[in-house]
Amino acid sequence: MRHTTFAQWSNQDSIVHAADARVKLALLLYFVVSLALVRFPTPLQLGACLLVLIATIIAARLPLVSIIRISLFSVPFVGVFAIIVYLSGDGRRAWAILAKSYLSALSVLVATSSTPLPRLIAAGHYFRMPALLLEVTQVIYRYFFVIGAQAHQMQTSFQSRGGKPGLRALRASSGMIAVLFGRSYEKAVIVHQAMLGRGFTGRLPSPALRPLGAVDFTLLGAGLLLAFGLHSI
Amino acid sequence: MHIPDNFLSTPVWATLDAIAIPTVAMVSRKAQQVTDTNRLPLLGVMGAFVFAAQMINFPVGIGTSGHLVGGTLLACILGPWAGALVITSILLIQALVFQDGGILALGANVINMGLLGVLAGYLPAKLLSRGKWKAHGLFIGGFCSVMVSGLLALTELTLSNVRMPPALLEASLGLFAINAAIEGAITVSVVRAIERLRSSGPSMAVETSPSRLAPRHMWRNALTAMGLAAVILASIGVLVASALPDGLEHVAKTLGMPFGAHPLLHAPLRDYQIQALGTNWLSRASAGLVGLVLIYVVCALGGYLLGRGRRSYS
Amino acid sequence: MPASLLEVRGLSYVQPNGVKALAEVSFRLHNQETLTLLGPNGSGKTTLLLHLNGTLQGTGSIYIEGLPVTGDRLREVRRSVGIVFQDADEQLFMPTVLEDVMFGPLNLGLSAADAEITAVQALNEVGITSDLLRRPPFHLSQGEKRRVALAGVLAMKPKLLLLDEPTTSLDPPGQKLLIKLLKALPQSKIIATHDIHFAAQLSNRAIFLDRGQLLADGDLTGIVERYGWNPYS
Repeated sequence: MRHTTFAQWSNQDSIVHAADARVKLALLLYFVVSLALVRFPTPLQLGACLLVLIATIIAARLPLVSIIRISLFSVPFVGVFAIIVYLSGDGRRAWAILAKSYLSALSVLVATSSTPLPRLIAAGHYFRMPALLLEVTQVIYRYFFVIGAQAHQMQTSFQSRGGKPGLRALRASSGMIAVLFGRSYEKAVIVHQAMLGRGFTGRLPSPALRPLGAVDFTLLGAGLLLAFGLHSI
Repeated sequence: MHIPDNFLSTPVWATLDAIAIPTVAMVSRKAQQVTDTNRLPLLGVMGAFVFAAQMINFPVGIGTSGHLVGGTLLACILGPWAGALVITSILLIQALVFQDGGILALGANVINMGLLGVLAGYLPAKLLSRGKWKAHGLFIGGFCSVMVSGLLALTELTLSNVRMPPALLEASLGLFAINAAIEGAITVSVVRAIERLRSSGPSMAVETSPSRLAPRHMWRNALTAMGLAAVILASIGVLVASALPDGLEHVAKTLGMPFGAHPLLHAPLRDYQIQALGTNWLSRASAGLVGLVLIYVVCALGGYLLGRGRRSYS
Repeated sequence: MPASLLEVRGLSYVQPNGVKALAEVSFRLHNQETLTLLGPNGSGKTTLLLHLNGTLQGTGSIYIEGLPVTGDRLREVRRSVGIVFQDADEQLFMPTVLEDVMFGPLNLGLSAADAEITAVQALNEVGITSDLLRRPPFHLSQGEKRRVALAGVLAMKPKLLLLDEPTTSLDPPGQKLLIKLLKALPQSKIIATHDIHFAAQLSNRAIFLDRGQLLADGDLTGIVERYGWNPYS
């Protein structure tokens, strides 16, 4: 389910989508780092950050409600950690962690929802990330949802045949994984044959990114200024 | 176990990122050398498989369920370098697409789960790969990889001054141990199932038992195991040093070792200074931590000695 | 006698586990001829197809346009022979439709610009509209995936097309469209299929394989009758 919406959103058109992936990644990194470096951001700063993110979501023509809803998925997990910090006596820090973590997660979500994965991968190549890592990531992303759907089917079958927790359930789950492995391995063999059949040389092609231009640097500069401004409120 | 952003203090996440970047580059190069690049589809699809398998519920009752992490399994199927690389790819996707784990914390998560976790899983499996010890090796490997990942995460959090009440620490350790045991069990059963597939169908070019080592390699691997245990002990040692149950404190005082709060790390800017780890929270659980690490060391040692005993049968 | 496009002489293949998958298979195929490959499951149809594009190497000889299919000539072989596998998902391994069809031309050495032109051309040929170009393959219907896979192979301008069970999971409109497409393609084709009616639309010659042996080579209807290969008669 996530994949459908994701792929849809990242392939739309908007000024945010059109911005260069490298610039977006740089801005994202800058945003997350500056957020992390401020120990106790003021409510004003937090509010301003949130507004900027919401503005970006709107500019990217992404569905605001859905994005916010998805961003809230990370809150329970973060919340547990925040509670731990709260219980250890540092209430102020707990709130700060909760707010900052949420904003970080939201910013990552917005960035990846408005950039198609191939461009992210290409940006990764540009930033000299290890090539094999990026290509493996690409293939994993391609087939994760397919195999995930198979896994989901098996779990549904288990439940609809009255599966309950217990030792038998553990055996069933192990069996599911073993079957998944077998099917995945065979799939890998055929993918390999299909690649070879079309002349695979060992490297997956990556879309060429257009050379960075004045627009990109302007956007980068504007983004940095904005982030700096948020810092100094 | 995926640490989100803004939990680790700046020196911690920055240092771990700085360590992780060149290490991942090295692992990627190594994986490229060791695996024939035509196996890219195999790496990718196996990664997708493990990623999908992580979603499968293992109900352990009372509302909790365990999940496979898959580091040991991947290391057995693809070898340690490719296995580490694939887990790193999975962590990357999890952080970017699912916001599971922070992006600044990627260095920490990659080191905990992709690098040291995989290594901690691979070594026992490799050292105990002969005959009737194979299942034990796989179980211990799975167990250690999850346990080590969890311990490292806890240590990093403690270094960042996230103090956990002892009860919570014990509960976390208990949970880690359960998940670690599940990991061990699943790893064994899946590897068994794979071998059944191999024997009944067309040949599969995967080696599920880490290949037997030449004696020289055996020694080097044992050294690595020792080194790994030492690193973990050292980092756990920091955790323990902060806990100081009465008994240990007394023993240490007797030996004349100095105690007291002292700043561990200094950061250049006042704002970001880590406060001293207080000595005012104790935990029986830290003794438990030490115990767990000792178990790991014993396993690695035992595996090495057993392995060495079999060397003469090459 | 017109020079044949494809000549297979005494092809035999023993699998690594010792099973004899092909035993002395010999036949010829001419330019612009379509051949149906019939046989029970496990008879070696897919194995045979994999030999024709050099993925597997057995004993005996295979000639394409008079030149032998050997290990050192694999690049050229894969240029002239294109194979479309049964499961479309396993052939569409790039993140978007366009990138996937560009994979083959790029591996043949075309520039990115030329590869894109060729890919778009091939996609047009199979009736894939431009709005699907940047979609991830996961979101296409079975019929669309199948056509994209075909386009990916057509973009390499092969002389010989191999299709393995092309009607699997295709709904009747999808099958209709596929028949229309294949009829319009000038390449020689070998189609492995269980669907007799589909085959009859495209060719009147068939070979029958059973346990690796070529038992018959001739008229399609004659062979179907002889081996009782029509499930409804």
